Amino acid sequence: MPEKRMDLPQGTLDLLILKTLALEPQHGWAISERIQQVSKDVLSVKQGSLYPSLHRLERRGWIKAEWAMTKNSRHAKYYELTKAGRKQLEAEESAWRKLTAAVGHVLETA
Amino acid sequence: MFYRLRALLRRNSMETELDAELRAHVEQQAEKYVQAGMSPEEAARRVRLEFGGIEQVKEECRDTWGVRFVSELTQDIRYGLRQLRRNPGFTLIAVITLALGIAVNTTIFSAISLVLLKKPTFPNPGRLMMVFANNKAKSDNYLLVSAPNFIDFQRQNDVFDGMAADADHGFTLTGTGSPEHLIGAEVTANFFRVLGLSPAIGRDFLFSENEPGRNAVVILSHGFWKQHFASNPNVIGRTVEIDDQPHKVIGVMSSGTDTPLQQVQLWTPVVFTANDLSEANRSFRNLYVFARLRPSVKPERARAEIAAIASRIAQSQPEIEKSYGASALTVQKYMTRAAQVEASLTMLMGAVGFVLLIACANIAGLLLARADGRRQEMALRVALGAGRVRVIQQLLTEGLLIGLAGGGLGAVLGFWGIRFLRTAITWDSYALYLSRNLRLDAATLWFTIAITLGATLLFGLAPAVHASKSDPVAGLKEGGRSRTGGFASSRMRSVYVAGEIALSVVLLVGAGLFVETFIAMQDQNLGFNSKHLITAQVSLSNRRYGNTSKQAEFFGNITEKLHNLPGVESASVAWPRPLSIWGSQTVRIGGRINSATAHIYVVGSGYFKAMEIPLLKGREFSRLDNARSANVAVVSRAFAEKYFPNRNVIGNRVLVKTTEPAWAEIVGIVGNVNEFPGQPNNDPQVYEPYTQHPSLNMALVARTHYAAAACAPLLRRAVWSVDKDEPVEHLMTMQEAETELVGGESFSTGLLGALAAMALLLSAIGIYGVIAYSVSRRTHEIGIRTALGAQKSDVLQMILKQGGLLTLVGCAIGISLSFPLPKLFAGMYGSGFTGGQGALAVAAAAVALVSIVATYIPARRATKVDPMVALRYE
Repeated sequence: MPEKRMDLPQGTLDLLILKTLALEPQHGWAISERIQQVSKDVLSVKQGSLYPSLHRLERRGWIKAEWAMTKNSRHAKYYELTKAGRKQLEAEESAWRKLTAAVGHVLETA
Repeated sequence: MFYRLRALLRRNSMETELDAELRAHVEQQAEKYVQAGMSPEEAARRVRLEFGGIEQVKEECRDTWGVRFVSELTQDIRYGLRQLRRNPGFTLIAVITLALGIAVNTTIFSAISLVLLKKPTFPNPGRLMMVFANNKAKSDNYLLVSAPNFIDFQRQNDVFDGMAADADHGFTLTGTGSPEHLIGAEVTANFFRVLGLSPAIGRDFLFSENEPGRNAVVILSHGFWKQHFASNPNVIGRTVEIDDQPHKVIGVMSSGTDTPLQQVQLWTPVVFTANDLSEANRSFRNLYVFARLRPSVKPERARAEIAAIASRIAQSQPEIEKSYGASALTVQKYMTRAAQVEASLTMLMGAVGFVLLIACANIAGLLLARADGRRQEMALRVALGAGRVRVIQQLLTEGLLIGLAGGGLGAVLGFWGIRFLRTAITWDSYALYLSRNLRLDAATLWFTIAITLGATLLFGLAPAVHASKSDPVAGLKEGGRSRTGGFASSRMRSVYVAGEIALSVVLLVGAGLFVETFIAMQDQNLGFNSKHLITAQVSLSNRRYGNTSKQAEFFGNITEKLHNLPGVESASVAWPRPLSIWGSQTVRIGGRINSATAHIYVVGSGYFKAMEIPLLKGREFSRLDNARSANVAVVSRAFAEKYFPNRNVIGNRVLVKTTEPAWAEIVGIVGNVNEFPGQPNNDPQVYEPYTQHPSLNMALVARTHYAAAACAPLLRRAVWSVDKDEPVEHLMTMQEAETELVGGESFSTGLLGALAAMALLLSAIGIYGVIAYSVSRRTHEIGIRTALGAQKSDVLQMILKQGGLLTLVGCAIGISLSFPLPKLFAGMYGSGFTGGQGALAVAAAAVALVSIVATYIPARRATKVDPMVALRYE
């Protein structure tokens, strides 16, 4: 068993999803696997909460969905980043960096 | 946006997609674990744990679709409809109760308020006020205003845009074929302007025409123009001879112009002479005063201002004006007052309100009873995770469904009711006028619907209370066949039933009392026998009968002639004619500083006999009372009681301002005549012999042996046999006069009777509903008993006995609660109202009967059910 995985803070899940999709369209399970992989297993996405976020992002128009066949001949719903989504990703990324930089400063100097 | 629409419209496909998507994820995750070496079952279990509940995830996804509210609403509606369909009895009773309550109340209220409330027909009645004098010492209100006071009010106020005066006047139309008596008014030039009206043809008065020599002009009413000029548009400039004086026609009013007071046929300019405006003339109060408020001035301020001016006048003229004041009120208020319908209207509203209450109580009872039976359902929902809000939402939707059905049906029934009434009231021209204007009062409709809907929603929420309070596990375990607590518990049931019965009795008694009071008020003793009485009016021409002795002689002859007519028992003259709404006047009493007020009548000898007014003390007038003998007077009971309580009346002297006023000795007391039917009969009256106070105008009254109407032509001929040039006007039976006055009040009474019957019906339905429901809940119990060997008839008897006991208890409580009601009514409406015991007895009996029947029918049905089925009945 890997060491205790960290739960994702609220709202950041959306950011990670958008980032994951920036590379290429993915379906839900693949997204969850990817996040786990890339974070070197530190982040665990409660798999159930992935889908409400996906649907919400789709409603907001930042990602769009299409059904297609996977490599294993499975029928899956692929999500893809839209233009508006790309812009949103940039905005949120920079906001995140600013936030973490600021917090980091406080922690160092305090 | 489109996402939402898609979620709304293509819900099914979205659901399948969601399901497929989640399932795909789960499968792939499980596959991964299997490939990592787990057994399929373990992999599946692990995935389930990690994923979280699929249904929950689905629900969260659905939340993001943003259409939760609408989908929940449709869900609720469908569920609600299903529930209602499963309990057809309950649904039917609830909807019918609502519909009947709404329809009946609205229809009857609309009809009766049309009869009682005469709406003004000129613009902005809320801004038009009337000014009246009053005497605080004698609590006399609504006295007319004298000319000097009018001028002072007009000059000194700053709240009115314009103030006009109107003196009613009787004119005689001369110079045409047969002379005719006309009802007219002398008015100030701004009269129509203040009212907001203007002539349809020609022009309004000029200010210069209020001066002597310039006032020989006249404005005609539409009816007069139609009648005498055949609606000829070239009427302007023509001449009309009025009181033997030619008047130039300068204008004609449009049809439907009713000045607030009565049907006036023509208007001429009033002229205030120096005498009219003298200080001494302040006590001659003969003017109606109208005034239009300045914009943004409130009526209260106007009232205060007028009162202030009046008190200034009183201070500067203490002998005449002491304790006289003035007040102002809007025309609408005055017309309601003048018709003295306030009391009747209050009765009406009370009755309608009570019927509404009965309907609401029924609904409440039904809903509460049903709420108890839904405990299991509520427990289940809570156990499945329904939040309190969700439960309330669903219950509200159900309530709304019932409410909308009931309201819709009620509105439809209401319209039919009005339509039916329209075709039913056609017996005379007044009724036709009523039916033309009969309309469903929208305000009442909405109000009734709102109240009943509110009650439905409020009590429909009762199950929600159970849902949040009770432990869901216990509720589920009870399985609907709860034996402990809840409606099925016989104690709770008994309380409900007895409560509904008691409430029904109280409400029924209330409604019945309102109706009885209303009827009693209409039947207030007239004070004379109005049957077989014919009356007409004769107004002598001043030119030919200027001499008072000629007037007396004329009417003396008429009375003789009438006496000699076949079919006439007795005849006399009087002025004014009873039941013609004349105001009261000041009466001085010998030896007192303060004057009295009374209605003044000038009558012939034999008048009281002809009218069958009882003589209580002393004597009536006789032939011996004439112009040469001592002046005498007769007073009514109310006058004696008011001004001579516990003292000798006869022998005192009074002074009345009639023609040739003189101190008269009171020689007799007679019964009181009701000035306005429907009100308590205690207006003081003073009578004087016409031989001592002759007048140009007199009403003839003749009591006939048989049908009064048949004598009409004879009466006319009798008058013309004395003088063929004198007009005979307003020839009618006294009962017609009465109907003219009180309009459709018998119609209202009939309608109110229908209201009471409806109250009864509604109560019956309510009681039946609750009891039937309660008995049906015992079906299970009945099944057990029968299965254990009880005879069906025994079971039936047991239920009936218990039901009978409950009825007794409920009725007893109801009766004891309603005991103080009749006294309360008599106290409030002080009409010497006796009775109400009748209402009590009827209400109790009716309720008891319905309760027994309501117990019997469902009980019998329940015993007929096969025990095996009954046992499984939930």
